[in-house]
Amino acid sequence: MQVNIRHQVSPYFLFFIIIGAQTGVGILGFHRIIAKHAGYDAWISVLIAGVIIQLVMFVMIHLLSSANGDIVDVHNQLYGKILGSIMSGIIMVYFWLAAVSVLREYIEIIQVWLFPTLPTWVMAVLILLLCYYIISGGFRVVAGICFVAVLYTFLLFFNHFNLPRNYIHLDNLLPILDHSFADLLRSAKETSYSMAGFEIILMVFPFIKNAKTSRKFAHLGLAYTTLFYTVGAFTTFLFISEKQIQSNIWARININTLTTFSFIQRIEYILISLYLIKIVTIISLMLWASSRGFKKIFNKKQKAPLLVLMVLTLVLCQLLDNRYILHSFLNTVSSISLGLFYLYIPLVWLVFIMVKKKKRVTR
Amino acid sequence: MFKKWREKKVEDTKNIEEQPNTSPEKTNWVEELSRSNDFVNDHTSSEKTEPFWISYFRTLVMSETLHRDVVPYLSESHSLDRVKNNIPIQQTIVTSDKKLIKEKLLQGFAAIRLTEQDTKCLLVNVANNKFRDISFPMMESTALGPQAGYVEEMDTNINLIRKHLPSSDLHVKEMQIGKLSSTKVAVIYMDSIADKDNVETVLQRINDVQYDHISDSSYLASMIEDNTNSLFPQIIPTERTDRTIAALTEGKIVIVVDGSPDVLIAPITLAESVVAMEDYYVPWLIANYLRLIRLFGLCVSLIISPLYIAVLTYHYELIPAKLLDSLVASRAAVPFPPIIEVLILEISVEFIKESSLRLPTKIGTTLGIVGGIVIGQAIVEAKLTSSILIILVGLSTLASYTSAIYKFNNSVRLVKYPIIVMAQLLGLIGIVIGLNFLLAHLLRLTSLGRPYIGFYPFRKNMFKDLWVRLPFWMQKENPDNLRPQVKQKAVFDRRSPGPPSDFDE
Repeated sequence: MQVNIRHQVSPYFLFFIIIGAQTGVGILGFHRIIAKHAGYDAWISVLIAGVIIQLVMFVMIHLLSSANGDIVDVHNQLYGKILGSIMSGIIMVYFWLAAVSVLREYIEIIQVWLFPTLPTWVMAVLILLLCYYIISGGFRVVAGICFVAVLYTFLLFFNHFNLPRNYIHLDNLLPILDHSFADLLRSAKETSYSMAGFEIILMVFPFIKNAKTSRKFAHLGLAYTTLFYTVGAFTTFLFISEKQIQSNIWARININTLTTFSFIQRIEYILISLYLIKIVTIISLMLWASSRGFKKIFNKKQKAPLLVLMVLTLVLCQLLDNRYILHSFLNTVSSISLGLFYLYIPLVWLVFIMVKKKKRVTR
Repeated sequence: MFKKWREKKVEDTKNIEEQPNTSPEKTNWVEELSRSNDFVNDHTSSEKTEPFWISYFRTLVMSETLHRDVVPYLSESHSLDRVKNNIPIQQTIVTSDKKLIKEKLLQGFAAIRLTEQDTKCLLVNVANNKFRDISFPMMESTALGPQAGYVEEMDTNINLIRKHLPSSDLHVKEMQIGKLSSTKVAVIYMDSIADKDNVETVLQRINDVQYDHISDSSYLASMIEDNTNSLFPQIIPTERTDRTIAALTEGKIVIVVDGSPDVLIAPITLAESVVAMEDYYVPWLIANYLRLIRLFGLCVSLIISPLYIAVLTYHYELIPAKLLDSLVASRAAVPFPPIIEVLILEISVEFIKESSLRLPTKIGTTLGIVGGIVIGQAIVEAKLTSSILIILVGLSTLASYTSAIYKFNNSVRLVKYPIIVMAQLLGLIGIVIGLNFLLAHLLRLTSLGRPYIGFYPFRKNMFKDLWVRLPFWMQKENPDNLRPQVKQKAVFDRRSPGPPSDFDE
């Protein structure tokens, strides 16, 4: 199914969409998770993860352009209508879960830092309304929000260097490569969830003009995020010691509390509030992808699956009511993402390519 | 039964529609028009059998022209064709079509017949077209640049445009809309530059308009806008000639409506609301500074009162202790929560704005003094609001008028309130949610189907002449978002005229 050219966006938006989908709440607190195994060498793991996601992205784009459509088309061509729909449904459910996890994690941050007594559903309803307004404007508007959100991440990038100069310890990072390669890989695996989000390409691909020839924008986007996370990890490790980081859930917010000006202090309040646009971006993208997938599977208008998904999101957010449940939920989502996009998709790619070759030979 | 009722209703409406069409065929147009007292139906000769009969609307014709150029020639000859040749007026028609005669009489023509019962008559244009002279643009005044503003008459306005662009490329498409008012509308564009689709869209939308009367171009603007429910104008009205000329040469479309001194420009982007024509009459660095000030003013007027509420209701930790001292001291005696305080002030400022706008300038000035100074002073002394808030609201009021387009200022006035409410509910997060809704709304808006918000999709040359104004020699391209047929402007690249200095030799 070809997308109308009026609804498509220019190729370079792929860059913004990938970054918009990738940089989420993770930026604020991924340091603790990746430092568990590799300690101060974890920034190397980020680079390793960066290389791996480039490979996965290559595989995804190759798969999508040989199927000439999105993942639903791939599945339908490979498995037929019924089984294909089931497999696509699983991926769409993952997109929905990813949206829920980002939403719930952000509300958690707000409840910890800004409004301790704020009910979860209030924030969830407001953010979902905003997302509905964005998604109902069509993909062009979703891409527009990505564009603005990425402008905000450019600001966040400079925020990485906003460190109290007197308390920087360069020797924190030395000696480099103190940990075993297995530890580095383990940390890279932990990073992968923070860097997840690029799988949005599976649904976005047909909406990009001349998508087949403009894959460089996707890879550039991934490179930027890798740089972003590496610099983030690097600068945070310069400032916080290895033991301390394990007790810091949101290391970046803690660092920002130290910044003061003569007319304003507690910059982290502004940081967290402005973070909303990043959250809205990810949730809009994920729910857009999910509802579009279900639209294609069930042949309904996009409005119906979107509204159903939003109600379900609200319910699930209410259910994840404490840190412990939330944590295990996040772990589940992250292992689903690992399984789906680092194992399943490459496998599908191999099979798809072989089937296609065989077809060509028999013809 | 219901069906019967509906059929009857349909018949009724048919009758109503047909009535005015059928009746004039039966009655004479002279009789019909004579029911109005300002209709004159005179005999020019004292003999009953001699010609001519002349009829016109006294209130529509220029009597000087009538008596100088028409009446003297009537006694010289005895046939309509002879009269037609003699009269020194070019616009004359000989016809017996009743509908045409009536239409022309209502436009200020005079009808001349040989006998009273004659159906054939000569129509002469003696219309009084004098409205007022061209004057200064009132709402968009500038210190520099041309001071010619549009007037209420369409031909004068088109004349102003044509005089500045003497090119055969400038096409004017005229049409009439409004069932009762038959208002003349002209769509003007540069045929070789403007995008054909844009022109098609505008013509199509104007043709589809159905309304009794079009009093002003804003009627038309709100009828052909993409999203009528939006606060933001997607077609901007302007009374400056230079603005329309610049728009035309870039490939935009200009719509002139008879009876309105505001000329419409479409398609536009949000960024154009901070572009004043004066930016092009001052050095480019100063122009950028002014543009930045205007943009900053818009942001300030949007968020300063919500920020006050958010900070004082929820986030007083944001303010350093020393600054908080003076804030708290000024608020200590105020018995209300910040939101009430802000609403009292914002609404009283709106009162002052609204009342001084409706009154003549002389009283308006007095009112400003009474409202601004006396009430402002008293409201602080009565401890109804803090003095710091007076400063902030005063600033935001000033800042909300920095935009160059009056219609846009009004939108900013109203957009503020939802954000104020959100700030009260959720503090900083509320403000950001409000701003995000605004952003999403702006992203969704289109003007003639082209994106409204100026920076998405991203175009390189918007940093040459939209958000930033670079020197003229660098503005080499017409804006991409208009899809102009001609991409390049005629630019002569000469940065430093004159012989080179000894350093450059």
